[in-house]
Amino acid sequence: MKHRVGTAGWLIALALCGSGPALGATCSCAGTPLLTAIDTSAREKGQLFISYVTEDHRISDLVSGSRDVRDETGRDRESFSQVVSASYALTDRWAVSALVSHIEHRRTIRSSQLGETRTSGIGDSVILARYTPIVITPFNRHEWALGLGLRIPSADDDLADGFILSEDMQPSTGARGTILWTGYTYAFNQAATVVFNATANYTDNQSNDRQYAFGDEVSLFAGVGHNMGPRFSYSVGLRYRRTDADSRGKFDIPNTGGEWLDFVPAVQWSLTDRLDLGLSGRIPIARDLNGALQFTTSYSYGFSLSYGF
Amino acid sequence: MSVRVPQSGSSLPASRICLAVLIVLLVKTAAAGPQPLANLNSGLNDAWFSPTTPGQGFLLVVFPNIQQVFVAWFTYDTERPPQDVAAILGDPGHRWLTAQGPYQGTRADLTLFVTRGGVFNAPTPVPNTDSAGEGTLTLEFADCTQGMVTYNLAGSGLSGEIPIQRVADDNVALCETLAASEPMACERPAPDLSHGIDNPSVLEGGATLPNDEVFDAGPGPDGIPPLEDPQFVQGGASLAPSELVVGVKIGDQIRAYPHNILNWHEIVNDRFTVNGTPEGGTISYCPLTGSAVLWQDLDICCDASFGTTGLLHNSNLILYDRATGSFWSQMLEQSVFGNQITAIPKRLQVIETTWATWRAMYPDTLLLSEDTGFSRDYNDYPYGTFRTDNSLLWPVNNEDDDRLGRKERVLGINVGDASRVYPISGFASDIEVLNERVGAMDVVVIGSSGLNLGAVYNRELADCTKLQFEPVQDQLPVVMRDNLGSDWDAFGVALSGPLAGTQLQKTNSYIAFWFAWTAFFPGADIRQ
Repeated sequence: MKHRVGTAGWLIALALCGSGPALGATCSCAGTPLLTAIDTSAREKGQLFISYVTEDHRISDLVSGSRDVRDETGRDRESFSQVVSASYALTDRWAVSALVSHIEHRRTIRSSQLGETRTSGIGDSVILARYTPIVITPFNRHEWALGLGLRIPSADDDLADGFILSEDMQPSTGARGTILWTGYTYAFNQAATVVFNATANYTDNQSNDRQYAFGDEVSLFAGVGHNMGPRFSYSVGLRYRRTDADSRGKFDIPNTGGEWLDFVPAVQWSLTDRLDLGLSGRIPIARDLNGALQFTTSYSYGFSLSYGF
Repeated sequence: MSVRVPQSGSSLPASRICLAVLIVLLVKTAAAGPQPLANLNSGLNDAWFSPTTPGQGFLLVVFPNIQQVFVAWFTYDTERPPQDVAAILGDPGHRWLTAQGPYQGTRADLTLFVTRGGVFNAPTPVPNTDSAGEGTLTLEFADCTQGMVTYNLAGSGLSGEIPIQRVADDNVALCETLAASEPMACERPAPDLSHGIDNPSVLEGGATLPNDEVFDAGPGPDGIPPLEDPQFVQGGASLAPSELVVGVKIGDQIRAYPHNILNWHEIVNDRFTVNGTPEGGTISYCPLTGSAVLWQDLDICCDASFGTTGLLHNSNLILYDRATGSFWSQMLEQSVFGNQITAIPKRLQVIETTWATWRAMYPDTLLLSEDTGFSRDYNDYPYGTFRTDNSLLWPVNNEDDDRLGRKERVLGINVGDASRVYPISGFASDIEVLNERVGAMDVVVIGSSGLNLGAVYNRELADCTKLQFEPVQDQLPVVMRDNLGSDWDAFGVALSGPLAGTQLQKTNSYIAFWFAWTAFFPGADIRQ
C-alpha cells in the first residue's frame, strides 16, 4: 500500500512561470509547470507512483511594477499543460522522478483583426534524483530531502505562424536547465496528519539555439497540510518566486522577471487505496515585476490523478 | 525619263534618286530611334500582345486629363480545364483581369483585379471582384511601339514580365506626335522606388525577408496598440523641451508626435485635410531602431490604416495594413508579405527633433495628447536602458559594424546602391548645410547637433536647376538659403524668394540608430 508523508508534496507545489510579454521586446515565460508538477511521492524502496497533472494558466493581468494596469487591447493569454510523471524509490533514501509534458498555448488580442495564435506540442522533460537523509518515523517528526535535476529540451521550440513565434509561445524552451531542490517536512503529531511543509528550489536556465534564455529562478514554498481522515486532505501555502530577467546573448530583455507571492490552496481525495485525485489553484497576492509593463498570471488551477503501485 | 545631276556629271534614273532619298530617310530615322516618351498618352490606346504568348492580349486606354490608365488583360487559367468541362459560349478556361489607376511619367503601378461570377449579357448574377485586388500590374513604356507588363499575383503564386507590342501600328504616329508636343523631362535622377532592392525575390514562405531573420517579439498583433483616433492639444507645456518629437507638416496642418507616447503605441493612424479633402496618414515610430516615417493612405480600399504585427526584422517594426493584412517593413518602406508584397507606400517627410526646436519652428503646432484612451505611463520609458546602452534585444544583421556606437542617431540616405549616414552628434551645434552628391543624386543635408535636427533633400529641381545652399541661423523655421535668394524650411519648402512655394524632392532618408541602419543597409559611408 502506498503511503504519502504529508499532504503537501507535489500537490501544493504547482507553480508556473509568472509573466508574459507586453511590449515589443519582452518575453519571459514558457508557461510550463514542469519542476513543481513532478511526482516525488515514492519513499519506500520499490514504491512506484505515476501521476497525471493538468494545469490551466491564465496570463492576462497587466502590471506595471506592483500596480495593476487596465489592458485596453483585450489580450487573453492561456497555457494549458499536461504532465505525466513517475517516481520510483530505489532505496528508502534514494528515489528518481521523471516527467514528460505536452503544452498548449493560446494568445488572443481581441482588438486585432489578425485573430489569435495557438500552438501545441511536446514540452520539456525533467529528470530528478532525490536523496532523503532524514525521514519521518514514529520516533522522528522531521524529514529533509535534497534533489538534483535536469530539464531537457525534448521537443518543439521553433513553431512558426509564418514566422517563428516568440519563446513564450513555444511548447519547449529549447534549452537545458539545472535544478537544485530541497524539501523539509515537520509532522505535528505522530500520525503525521498535520504537517508543515517547505520547499526551495533554484533553476539555472541555459540559452536555446536563438540565444534566448529564460531568467534563472528561485522558488520558496511554505504551507500546512491536514489529513482529515483516510480519504481527504487539504493544504494551504504561500509561494514566493523570483526570476531574473530573460536574456538574449549577454543582454537582459526589458520587462521580464520579477517577484511574485501567491496563495496556493489544494485538496486531495483518495478514491481508493491506490488512486488519488487532487485539485489545486494559485492566486496572486502580491507581485513586483521588472520594467514598465508586463502581462502576468491572473490565476491558475490544476487537476491531478496519481496511482501508486 | 532622266535627270541631269551637274555635280557628278552623270545621270541617274529618277527612281534611283527616290530610292536613295528613301534610304537616307530610313537611315536617319533608324539613327534617331523611336520617339522617346515623357508621359503615357492617348496614342498608346490600342490592342497589345506578345508574339511569344499568342492567344492572350491587353487592351490599354490612357486618360491623360485625369492621369489614369485602364488595362484589360484577356488570358487563360494556368491549366487547361478538364475535358468534360464545357462552356456554352467560348472556352471555360477564359480569364479576364483588369487594372486601373494613376500613372506617373511613363509608368503606372496598378492594382490587378479578377472578375468572377457573371454570365453573358445579363444583369444578374452581378459579377464580383475582390475590392482589395488580387495582385499588382506595372505598365511601363519606353517609346510608342513597345512596353513591358510586370505582374504579381501573389495569392496565385504568379509573377513575371511580358514585353508587349501593338497588334497594328496605326496609332504609332499619333502617339509620337503627342510625345513630340510634350517637353521632355530633364535628366534629374528619379527618386528610387525603394531603399533596398527594387524588386526583391519572394522567398520560400512567401515573404521577401528570410524567415530566420524575423522574430515574434511576444506581444502579438496589435498587442502594442496603435492610436486610431488621436487627440491633440495646443501648448504642451508639460512636455520636456528635450523630448524628441516626430514633426509633420501637411498643408497648413502642423502636428508633433512625441516619442514618449510613440514608444508605447508605435503607430498613429491619423487624418489630415489637404485642400479641403480628408486624407489619411500613418506615422510609425520604432523605439527599438529609433526610426520614424509617415506613409499616406494606401490606394487599396476601405480601411487603409496600419497595425502592429508584433514581429521584428533587424529589431525593426513590421506593420500590417488592415485592408489586405499584408506585412510592411518600416525601414525598408516596402511590403514584405501578403498580396501587396513589394509594393511601396507613398511617403511624406517628417522632421524628428526636440520639442523645443519644433516649437521654435512652429509655435502654433498641435501636440499629440496623452489622453489616448490607454492606461500607459508616458513618463516611463518601456525598454529600460536600451536607448542609451550597447544592448541588442534581437539578432540583427551586420551587428559587428562598430564604426559608430550602436545607439548613435544617424541621418541616413539611400540613392541606388549608395548609402551614407550623418551622425546627428557630428553636425555643428549651429545649423550646418552640406551641398553633396550621394550616388547619382545632388543632395542638400541640413543638420544641427544643438537643435537635434537632420534632413536631406534632392537639391536638383524638376527643371534640372541645381541649387546651392547655405545655412541660416536663428531664423526658424528658415534653416537655409539658396543661391537664388530663396529661404527654405526643414521640410524642404521655399518660404520666400523667387522659388517661394517650391518643394525639394524627398529622398529615401530618415533618422535611425546606427546599428539598425547598418543592419538594413550594410556598407554605408559615414560622414567624416
